[in-house]
Amino acid sequence: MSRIDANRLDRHAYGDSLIHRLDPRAKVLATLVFILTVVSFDKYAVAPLLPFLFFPVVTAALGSVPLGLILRRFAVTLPFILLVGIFNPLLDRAAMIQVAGLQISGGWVSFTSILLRGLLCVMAGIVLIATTRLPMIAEALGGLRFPKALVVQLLLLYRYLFVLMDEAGRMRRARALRAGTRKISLRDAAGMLSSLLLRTVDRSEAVWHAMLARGFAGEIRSPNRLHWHLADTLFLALVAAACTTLRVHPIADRVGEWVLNL
Amino acid sequence: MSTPALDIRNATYRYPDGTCAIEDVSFSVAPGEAVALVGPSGAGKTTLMMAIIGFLRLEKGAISVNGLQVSKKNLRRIRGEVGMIFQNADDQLFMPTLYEDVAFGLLNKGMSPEELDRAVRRGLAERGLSGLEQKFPGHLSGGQKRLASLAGVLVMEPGILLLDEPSTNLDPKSRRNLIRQLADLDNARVLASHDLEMVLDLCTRILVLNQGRLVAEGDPARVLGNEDLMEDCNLEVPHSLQPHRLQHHGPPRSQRDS
Amino acid sequence: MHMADALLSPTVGVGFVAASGTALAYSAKRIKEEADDRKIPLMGVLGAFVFAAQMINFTIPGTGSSGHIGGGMLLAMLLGPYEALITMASVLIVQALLFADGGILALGTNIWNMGFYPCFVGWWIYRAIVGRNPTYARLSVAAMVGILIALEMGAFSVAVETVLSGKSELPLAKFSLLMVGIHFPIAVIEGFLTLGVVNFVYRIRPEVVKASLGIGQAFEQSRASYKPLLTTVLVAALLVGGVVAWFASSLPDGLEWSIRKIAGSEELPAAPDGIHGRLAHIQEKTAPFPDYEIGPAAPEAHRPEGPAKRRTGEAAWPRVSPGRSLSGIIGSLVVLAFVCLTAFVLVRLRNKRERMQEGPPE
Repeated sequence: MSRIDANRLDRHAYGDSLIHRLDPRAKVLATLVFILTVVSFDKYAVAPLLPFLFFPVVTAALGSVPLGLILRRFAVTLPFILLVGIFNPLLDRAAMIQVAGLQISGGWVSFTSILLRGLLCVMAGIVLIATTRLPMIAEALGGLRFPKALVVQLLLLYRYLFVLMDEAGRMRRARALRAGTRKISLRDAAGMLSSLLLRTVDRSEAVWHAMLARGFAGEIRSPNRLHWHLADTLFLALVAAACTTLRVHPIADRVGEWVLNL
Repeated sequence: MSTPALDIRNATYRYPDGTCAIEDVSFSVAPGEAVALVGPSGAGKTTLMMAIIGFLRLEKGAISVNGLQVSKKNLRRIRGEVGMIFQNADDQLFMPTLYEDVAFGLLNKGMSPEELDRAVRRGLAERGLSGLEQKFPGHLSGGQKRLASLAGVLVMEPGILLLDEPSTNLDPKSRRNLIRQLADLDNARVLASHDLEMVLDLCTRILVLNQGRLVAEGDPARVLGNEDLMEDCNLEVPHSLQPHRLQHHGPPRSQRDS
Repeated sequence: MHMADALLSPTVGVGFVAASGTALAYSAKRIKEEADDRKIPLMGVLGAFVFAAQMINFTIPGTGSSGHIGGGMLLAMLLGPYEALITMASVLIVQALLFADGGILALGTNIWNMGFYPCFVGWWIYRAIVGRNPTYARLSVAAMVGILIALEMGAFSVAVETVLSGKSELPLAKFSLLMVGIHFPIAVIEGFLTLGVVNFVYRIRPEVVKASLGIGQAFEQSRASYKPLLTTVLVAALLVGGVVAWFASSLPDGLEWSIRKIAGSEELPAAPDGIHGRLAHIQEKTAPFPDYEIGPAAPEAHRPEGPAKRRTGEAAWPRVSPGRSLSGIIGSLVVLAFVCLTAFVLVRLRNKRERMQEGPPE
């Protein structure tokens, strides 16, 4: 169940490691640079993308992010990618690679490329969230000039995310016990959602009161907790340099040539 | 005599549908005094507290805090004087870390960053929460959540503290800890609770509300020991005030005897 | 309906980040002007509500499968368009990060598809139908029509973005038909669910539904800004649909282009004779059809109505020599082995360090 994985990822972000300690802005920017570089390859790129695995693998290892968790989350993203990607082998059948008599069509190559991109981007995202608490990411976005309203909403949403999900979970269990089945009809779902919604609206009122009681006047202020260190500059520079190098030089091909030359 | 921390005169409030929530309630609380507000659910305890902090406007009557009238133009100052602990700690702790939550009120007051850090750390330390600064409120225990909301309110140094059912959902140990900490405060306290044992431990005076009206006032042990009154208000005489029942049951027996 | 990074080109990705960013910045500005501080916690808690609501999986009538609510339109009906867009954006960001639903670069497209369309287009349709005097019938029709249109626009938009990105071979016409077709029953069901919820809330707490419609004292005022806003939205929708799309498809991917400039060429310099010779020899020996032309030039019949631009791009793809294929595969395997080795060594080192920190067992 995805809620459990999300909870695990979230708990993980409260750990401590070399990667955890980096400034969230550095991590957000590095992730963006990484993803942009990965998606910038042409659609048949497979070999040049492989060295990019180093970034998420190394950061995941340094940040103690369990590989199983990453792969499980990747599996969740697969259906849509597969649905769209599977047409490539069907539509693009021209042979592209021929090795030892085996012909591989362009469609299969581009399909593999899509899967690999998917894996790389999901890995990068999961390493980011597993080593950075969501509120810190929200603050990083604030530091990167995202609208204040969005930053505040991210903080509040995160605060009540698991509270409300637990409430919905209890509701679902209670219903399953009474009805004797886990299946929920459309009408029942509307009823459950309605009562959950009304409770949520009441809760928002209580939160609003709690804010007003402590002098809230329309703006949520929080102390600045971001500190940019030399390590952050180095990390970002390293990632950017590595991405640029790997983008320009197809390392895997070179290695292959070198091996064949032996 | 000094100005009372809280003074309520003939307070009356009606819900939009016309039913009376509180009717002609008058009392006052001296600085540093701890007063209990008891009564069955729906007696108007929470409504009264909401009126004191200015979330709803009285139909009739007046409330003043430290001599300052509760009115629309005074709201900011009133809320600086009144601290409120809400029933649900999750609703009260809305910031992503304890540190930020305690800082929330201070930042609204315009405290400088240097002062802020000291005040927040001291506020958490006083409640025994040092070292939990970076904790996410959702990861705290019920008792810690309650103490954290108390810390966030007490750093504002309110003259009067309103507590709405502070001991609900606490395990016995956290409850005792909370009672001890509340007893040590020197702010005036108004405590609305069904936890009558806690009321006996903490308060020197008790007010009984029933159907929006003040029906009794006085020494906690005497008021709570009055069986007829308690029966009328759908309340029960606390166990510690029932010596005869204890005799009746005798000392606890082991399973084998019975 | 969450767009994935794997299917995006950088131009389309960045283009939609810019479009959604503009919509968000504008919404943030409007919220600040409105200054209704009661809505700040309401937005946050309703954002969390969307996640809770999605846990209530109902059985889709007639099928065995289950579905859940998307939420954008419901948020708009409860909060109004600007607040709903900001809330939906925070929902999608958390979905992308904690739940791996939709990519990070893809947030631009996802906020557009699942935020902008329901919160702006869907909301306007809803408000136009409900008018000044909400009735249960009007609320129901409005919710249903609004969701149908907003969801189908989003679904169509996913197809457009995918095709423009050029990673998929799917032709636009077929893909968009597929997407719109799949999402029709989903939209109808979400419509029923949402209208059920809105009617229920309207019965118990009418003020919640009325507030977002701007009914009350503020109504006349908000009516005055109705037309210019509608125009803004339409222009924005056209701009993004048209201009961004046109740029994205006509420029050969900006980033790719600049990299090609930097690298000189994407094609590898001709391999030294040694490998080529040897490999050509291997190929001659092993290939079933030695004379077969290897290249991406597929028969035209296989690729109907793809954008012309893409095909010229493909034609520029270097003809793949078997030698390059082999070195690519061998290189890939070596790199993969290295990745695994690195991971293994790092994990071993970490475990060792942790054991040392724990100290020797007593």
